[in-house]
Amino acid sequence: MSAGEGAMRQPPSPNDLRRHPAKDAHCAHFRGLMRDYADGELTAALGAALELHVHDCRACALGLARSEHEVLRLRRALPTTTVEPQPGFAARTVQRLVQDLERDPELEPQLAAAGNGVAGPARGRRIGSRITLALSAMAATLMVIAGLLWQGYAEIDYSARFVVAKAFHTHVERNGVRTAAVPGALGEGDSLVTDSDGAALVQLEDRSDIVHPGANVHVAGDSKVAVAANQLHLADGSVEVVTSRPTEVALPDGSLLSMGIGTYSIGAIDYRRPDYVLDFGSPDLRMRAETVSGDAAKLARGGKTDTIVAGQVAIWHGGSIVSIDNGDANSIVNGLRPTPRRPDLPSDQLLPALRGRVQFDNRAAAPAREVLLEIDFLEGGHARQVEVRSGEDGLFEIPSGRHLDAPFAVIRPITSELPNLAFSMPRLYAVDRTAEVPVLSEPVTLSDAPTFDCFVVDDEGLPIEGALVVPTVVDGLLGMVWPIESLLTPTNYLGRGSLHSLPNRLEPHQQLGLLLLHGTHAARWVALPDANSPAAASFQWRLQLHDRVVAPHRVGVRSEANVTQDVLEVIAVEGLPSAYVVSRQTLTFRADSSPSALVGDGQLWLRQRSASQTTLRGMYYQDNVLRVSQEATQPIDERLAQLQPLIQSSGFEVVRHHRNEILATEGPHSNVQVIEGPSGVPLSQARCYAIDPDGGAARVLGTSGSAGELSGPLNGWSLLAIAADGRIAFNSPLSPATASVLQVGSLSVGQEHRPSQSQSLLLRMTAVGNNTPHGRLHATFWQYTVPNDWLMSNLPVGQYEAQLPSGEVIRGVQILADDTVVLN
Amino acid sequence: LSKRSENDLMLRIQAGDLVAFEQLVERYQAMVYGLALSILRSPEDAEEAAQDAFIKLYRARDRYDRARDLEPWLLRIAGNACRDLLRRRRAAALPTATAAADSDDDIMAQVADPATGEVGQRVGVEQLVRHELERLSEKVRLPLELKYMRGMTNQQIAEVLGVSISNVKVQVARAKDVLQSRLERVMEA
Repeated sequence: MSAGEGAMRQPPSPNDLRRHPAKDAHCAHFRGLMRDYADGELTAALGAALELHVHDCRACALGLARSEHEVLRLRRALPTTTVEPQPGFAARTVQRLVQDLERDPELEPQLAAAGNGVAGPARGRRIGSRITLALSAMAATLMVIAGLLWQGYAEIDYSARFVVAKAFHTHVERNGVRTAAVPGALGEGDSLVTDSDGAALVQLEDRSDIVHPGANVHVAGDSKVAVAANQLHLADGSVEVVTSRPTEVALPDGSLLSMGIGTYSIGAIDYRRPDYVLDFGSPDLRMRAETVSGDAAKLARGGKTDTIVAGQVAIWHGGSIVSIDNGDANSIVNGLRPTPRRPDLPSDQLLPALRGRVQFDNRAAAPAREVLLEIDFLEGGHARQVEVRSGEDGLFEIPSGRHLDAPFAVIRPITSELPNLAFSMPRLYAVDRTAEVPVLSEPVTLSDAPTFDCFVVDDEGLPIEGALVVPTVVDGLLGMVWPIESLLTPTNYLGRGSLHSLPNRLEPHQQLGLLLLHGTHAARWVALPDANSPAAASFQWRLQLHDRVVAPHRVGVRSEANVTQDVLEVIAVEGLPSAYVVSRQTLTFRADSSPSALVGDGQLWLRQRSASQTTLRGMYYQDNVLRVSQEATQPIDERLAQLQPLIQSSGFEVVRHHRNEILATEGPHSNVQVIEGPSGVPLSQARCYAIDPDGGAARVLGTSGSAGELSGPLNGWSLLAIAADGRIAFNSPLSPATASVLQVGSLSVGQEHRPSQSQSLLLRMTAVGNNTPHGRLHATFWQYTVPNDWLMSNLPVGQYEAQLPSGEVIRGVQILADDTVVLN
Repeated sequence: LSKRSENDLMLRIQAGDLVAFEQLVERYQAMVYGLALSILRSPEDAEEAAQDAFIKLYRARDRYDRARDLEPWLLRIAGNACRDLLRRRRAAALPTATAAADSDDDIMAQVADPATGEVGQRVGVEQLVRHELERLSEKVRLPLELKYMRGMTNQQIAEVLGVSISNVKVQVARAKDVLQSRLERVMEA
């Protein structure tokens, strides 16, 4: 250990981090920024926001400490050093230049690719072309030689002997007897089992004297390998295989991984690396095999062979194998045999356009229309990308060009279809170039999956890492924004996020969308198209954020010492009808501390609490001065105006928008005085509910007294009060609220209202009552398809309107508590 | 080198002044040679590639854009020169047993004795990091090495490697993860 090692903080253990996972969207967001912070690559504003966050979040503080430790260790091990060439380098360079110029004085610059000038003269290009041709020929020759050598390996006797070279905390199971592993041979039928803190190195030896050993198999902890039929089997856990000659390993599901020369990683998914391992949330997802470097690996399973090129990951998922492009699918590998060009086509002639087809694999190969595909043509270590869109018949055509000379392509559909969110993982496709028209050897198939991916990119189409994609419901009636944080996904370095289990049923006044958040980009809300709309079929899961400059606010609001303030950071989000609270901080200002704090960009709401009262103020920041925002009420009024017709049609009469200015807090219960807005008149005998401003959940608090007083466990939730005469008071600054808690009843549609021709009656029922005997609050709408017996049960009590397929609307359908249905 | 003196130097070089060219080489030789050494891992190859880079810059001197900085351009030329040389070297090389596997045995032997299970203290963390760094694939090793050993920013690394900044960040993060995982394995052993 080095001398300076003692000064380095010990990193938190991985177990400690696992015990403190990201708590919420905010945590996940900052986790994505920690490495940049530790490397000093984060902007000052984001750095300050991160520091603030970790100050109060132990889980993230641990994560940051770990990132900093990681960087510190790297900086110590790899200090920045200046390396000078041998003395006289400059003189030698000039000398070589002079010699070059004497040899070929007319040689013109050939740095068109350097990006700092215009294209060179024609002669230069011709020379460059010749050089390229010569190099290509040389490379081709060498590839042929390499290919022959590759074939030459077929002479090697592959029958292997397995030797345990190193073993720590490892056992050998032999004939049912378990003994501590020691260096030595691993015989037929033997198993090598590592403990959770164990590790082993198994070497594969063969009779060949060309290379020794044939491969080093590093067995990780909690793993098991066995020898059967003279072959190494991975029975459990993970191994890394570094090969010196072609090697095979059998895998637990019966598949066989054939490796060339390179490094290969096989084993259980490591969820500690969320950046580049997708979490499908599926118990079927067990293992993966990755070509870390070197030749491609081939995975044979059930008569099917998958090729895993360097940088690609094959994953066993749901009983089948999918390959996932990790963004670096630019490696062509030894051993793959390109399809030959059409023999009748001269070598200098371009291949005609390539044709392919996109279809659904579980819809009888129905064509997938209007699907956008990203195609990487792979050749010679390079990828050339084109985008195409399939037509009505699922067919697509790629124009003729040099890219078609590539023998393989990785195809990535980037268009999905609602509501089943069809998507398939990218995989390697071969191009049949012997046909009259080159075709993909098989159609691109899309499969329906409950999990789907979306890609977040910036204005230039570059992926954004660490963005949060939050499925969010916007309630047009309540004027509220409900992020479903349990479903959020952070994006990985490809900008890819995986979403699961989106709600598939919403009420008519609600809309589902994706809220996109990222520290250095403008937040955005993207509405998901209705499942039945034409837009759904072509909706692109490529979501875009816009660049912005983040300017942190320094809040200096304080009237006295020893005051606690809740600072709510509110940002305006493009696409959202109202602002969205992205963070809450509780700041306690002491007499001896600075009465200011840094918060993020956006509009602020400050809730100031003292021993006797809590006051809510809207603030905004302008010209370095924090001002009390009179304008803050303006959007509410506009919102009210929009909602007014809807609310009135629901049977409510909005008397006055109300903001509770005074909430007294004391002890576990909140002592609240409910007053009516600016008039200050107490609201007596009002039914009061506490509403979670984040989730929309509600519970009954009780009924206010004659002076509007109320006591109950408010716990920071919003307060909704419904007066006996129907007036509503709501202390949220975002909106007024309507509420309807309904009992269960049933509805039988009378004979006179049954449609004569259609068996399907769509009832669009709007609950309009405000009887609220239960503890949950919802303004509720339903759409029901009436069953054949015309009896719908378990319907909530309330007033409805029914819309028949003919368009006729039956108003005044009323369900009473005793299951009576009244049709007015 | 200030922008003005950089422009003056390039103006002289554009006029064919080899003395100015030598001055420019002296100013940037450490940066270019260090970069080449990181990529090519051989002092001889690094010198050849660094010379290639400067000569290519000389030949492209007429395309120098005074409005742009010289350094990113030179870095990009140097990166291309290194990759060209690397391709030539790789094309000439035949597959051999990996040296990394052999050296891995050595370091493992120093870390722990399989017979006794005793963990040795002869190998410092820094040595382990360097050792594991050498075992990384070039794709992830190079950005990490350029970042820490050459002190380059993500932007500069992206210029040199001809990739996006996002790609650089990805590879650096990946290198750190692989290093971390391997170090944990070795340290636990």
